[in-house]
Amino acid sequence: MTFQVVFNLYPFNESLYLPSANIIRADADGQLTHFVQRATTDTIIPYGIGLTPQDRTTVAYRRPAFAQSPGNKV
Amino acid sequence: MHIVDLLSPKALETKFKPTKARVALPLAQLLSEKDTRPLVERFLFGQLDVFLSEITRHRLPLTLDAQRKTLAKDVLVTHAREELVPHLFFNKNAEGIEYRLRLGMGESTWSPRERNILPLTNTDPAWLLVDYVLFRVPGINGNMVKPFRQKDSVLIPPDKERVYFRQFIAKSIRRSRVEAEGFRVEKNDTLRTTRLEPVENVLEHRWLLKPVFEYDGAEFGYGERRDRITSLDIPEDDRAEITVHLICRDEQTENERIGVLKGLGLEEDGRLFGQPGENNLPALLFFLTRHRRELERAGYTIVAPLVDGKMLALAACDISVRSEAAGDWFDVQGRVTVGLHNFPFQKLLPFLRRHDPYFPLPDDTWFLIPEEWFARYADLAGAVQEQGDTLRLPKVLYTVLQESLPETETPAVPDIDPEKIDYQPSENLKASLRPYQLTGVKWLIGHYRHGFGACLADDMGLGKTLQTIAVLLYAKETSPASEGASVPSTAGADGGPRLQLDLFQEYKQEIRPLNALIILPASLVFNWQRELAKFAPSLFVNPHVGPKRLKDARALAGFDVVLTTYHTARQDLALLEKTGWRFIILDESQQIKNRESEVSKVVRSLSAKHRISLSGTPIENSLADLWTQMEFINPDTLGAYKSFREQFQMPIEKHNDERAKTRLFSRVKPFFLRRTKEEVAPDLPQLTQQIFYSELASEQRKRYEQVKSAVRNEILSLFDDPKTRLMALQALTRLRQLANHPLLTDPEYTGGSGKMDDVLAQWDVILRSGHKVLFFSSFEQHLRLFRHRLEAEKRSFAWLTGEVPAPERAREVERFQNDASVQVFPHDARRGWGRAQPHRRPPCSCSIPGGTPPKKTRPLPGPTASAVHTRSRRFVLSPATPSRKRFCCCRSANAGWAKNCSPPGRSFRHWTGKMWRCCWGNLHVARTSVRLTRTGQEYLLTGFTKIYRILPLLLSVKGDVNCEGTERVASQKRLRGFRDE
Repeated sequence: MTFQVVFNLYPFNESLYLPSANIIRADADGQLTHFVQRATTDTIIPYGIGLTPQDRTTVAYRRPAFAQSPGNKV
Repeated sequence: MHIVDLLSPKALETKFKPTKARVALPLAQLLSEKDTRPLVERFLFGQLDVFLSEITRHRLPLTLDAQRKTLAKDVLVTHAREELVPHLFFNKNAEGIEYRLRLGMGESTWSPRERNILPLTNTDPAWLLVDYVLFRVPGINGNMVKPFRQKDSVLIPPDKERVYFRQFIAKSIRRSRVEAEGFRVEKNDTLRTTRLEPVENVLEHRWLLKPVFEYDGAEFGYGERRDRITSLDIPEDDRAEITVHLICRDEQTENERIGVLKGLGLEEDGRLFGQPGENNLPALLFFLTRHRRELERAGYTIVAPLVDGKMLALAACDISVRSEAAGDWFDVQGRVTVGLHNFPFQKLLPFLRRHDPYFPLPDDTWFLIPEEWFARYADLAGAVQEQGDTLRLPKVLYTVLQESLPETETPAVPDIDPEKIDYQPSENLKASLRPYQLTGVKWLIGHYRHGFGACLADDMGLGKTLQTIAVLLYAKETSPASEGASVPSTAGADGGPRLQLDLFQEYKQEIRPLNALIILPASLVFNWQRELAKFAPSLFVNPHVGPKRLKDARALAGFDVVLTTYHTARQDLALLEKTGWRFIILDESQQIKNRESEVSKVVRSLSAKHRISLSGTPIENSLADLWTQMEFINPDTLGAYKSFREQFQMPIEKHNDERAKTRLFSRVKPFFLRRTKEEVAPDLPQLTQQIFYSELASEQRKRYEQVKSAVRNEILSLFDDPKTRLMALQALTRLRQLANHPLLTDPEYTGGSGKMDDVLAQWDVILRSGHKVLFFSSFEQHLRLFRHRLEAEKRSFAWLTGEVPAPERAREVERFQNDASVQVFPHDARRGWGRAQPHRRPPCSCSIPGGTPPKKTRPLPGPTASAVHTRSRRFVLSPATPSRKRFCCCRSANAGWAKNCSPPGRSFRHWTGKMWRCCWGNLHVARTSVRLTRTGQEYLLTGFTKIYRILPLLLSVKGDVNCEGTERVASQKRLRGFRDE
């Protein structure tokens, strides 16, 4: 049994879909089955999932980058 | 850029928290308030566009609204292979404008209502999920799709049509396919021009051409999919009619123009074109300049490239440089043409010197100097000297001119090819020149005729001195002032000029001396003096050395050749400067390699018309040595040292710059001649080496085997005893003695010796042929056996063993060299052999390797070794070439030297440079020895010239040597005595 990071678009409201990253279990045929856990750089380690550079760009990290700078304040 | 985290509601709420608020507002509230909504949406959809682009580009798995209990594969999104193209339809009728949107790929289109469409963003490009397939739709935003999810068309009432068009349609219409009915349509498909833009691929450092098709109001790049552009003209006047402008591409004309590019040899590279192989900017500019007319005729407009803010000129360029000989100079003139601009070559020089390719033109454009011009003229630019409006190049740099200008533009350059020099050795030259020496003399004469300095850098032993003497004789005899003058045939006894004047004939013409100053190490003064006296007795020579040397410049000017040392030259600079020298010759010219040293400065400051340097190693440490050599023989050829260091030394030594190497080689090549022994080997006498293997005499063999067996048994019985090693060495010596002659181990022996008999048989043959024979053996007793034989035959012989007192040794060497009746010289290899001059060397030498086995080939004791040892007893007769003899003699010579000279307990091999200097510094041997000490074994070979020359002195000295002060003078006297004889 293997695990894979799969991105998901979930409806925040009827006109807005936001992304998330999940760890999904794959069956023996490689078919994606069920949600296991939210994917972060920390949570994927026990599942033996290696992050590709693309994953690193998109997947969630425990400490978001924006937290380091005030960003655009309204 | 961790997009998923950035787009989490919590992160968005934190990011857009009002500055003064304590608590962040919920995202829903941020999106509902009109102040915050545009900001949040702009950020959110911008990041979402990046997220979806990454997901699509890398085909990452994506689900839509996956729940914990749903199977992910059921909600998996597929990535579309192509983008969707929006099609807009407008139909104007009495009720208003009916507006329809259809989406599709290629020719098939469908209405958004027919599919399950979910707009993900409201920015352009739109991202749509169509039946779980993710599409990118450039040209529209997501909001434009929303009205068509429930209905096929939207009716725009007449009173709102202009507002609607301005706000929603006008921006999207240019990137969509538009069909309009009931509007005034203006169609344009005229290709006005095709722009050809040079563009740089920064990552690959390539310059390519980008064709852009320009139509009225629109332009299309090559390879772009759009075949038309629609725009709306919505007049401010509400009564005026809306006009649809339709710009359609003319595919046929576009293809024709692309065909022109391909016809010129350009290759397609994506949407760009490049030259096969060459893709740098100069090559591209050259292509555009060369084909400019053809391209313009084909409808292209070439855009000049902008590099570093400089607009480069696209114009044909040409350069023309000519030169004329003018005395010791070449006058160089040239013109450069770039398009309509014409300017002198002189203006280009600073740019060529600093390798700056951008030359400003008067019309504010920049001319990119072709790389080919740098390759051709950069060296010339660095060498010419600007004098007003003219450029001058020193004659010695004629090779620079040859490489820069075609033959037709080059004036007659000096011809120094030895093949073309007409020279026959003078009768006054009392030596026959070997072919390579004749070539060397012609080469020197070629330089002499053109007033060039030269460096003869032949390997040592090839006769640099003789070649120089031949040139001096030539110069003396071809000098206009001495024509018809009677040249005395011999020098005076005191070394001064002695004129043979006829008392009955009026002396009409002034005899002009040659005035050659030869500066050399002190140890070579007497050698030069002797060789000048021998080979050119017609030259008046004065050794300007020692405390009694002449102090009058007029007296010095009366000699043909003045010999002095570097040290004396430094002391007598003022005196030597007063004499007008025609020649200054440096022997061992590497002595001036340190340009900062006083000697080097002094020597270079002396003026002379012709300069020659002699050195087997003109470059020892770095290229700075080469600069000093060139600065002496041809001043200013390589420029000032600082410039030389920047142009040549640093690029070559630090960066191994091949171009700088080539340029430097080109400049110095005409003035250096170096031949190695290998190169001139065909001109040297053949080396003949005969190896005789001697069989042991029967009684001798018996004793040999007895000793060998006894030693073997003893060693085996004491195998682990440390004494075994010593015992083995002793046994080896004993076996060697037995192999030579059993009498060496047993005075009572009455039998014969195979080796002794063979040697004597060969010896007789050699002696009868009139040759001389050197005998080497490390066993003095062995030599005595031969001595008894010589005395019995009443033959004259020289003798050199440890028992001969030091002063006697030099005399023995001299006897052997000079006395024709002395044909044999038994010689203890450990005492050192005074190497004779090549021309005085005995034609034969005999060594007995069995007596002095080299350490590296010494056989080991044992059953196998004994056989080897027996075979090693051989008798070598070698009529030696200079190199061969030198090599053979070297080892023994140094061995004797070491014993006499080295401090107690220290072998000469371990002497430090300081010790060498201390002993031989004043004889100018120390430098060579020091240099060789650093490189270990090599010093034995290279330094042998010196060792040989002072060997008679060495043989006369016991204990530590101190040549300082008076001892030095005494040593020189001894040496001079030896040489004079």
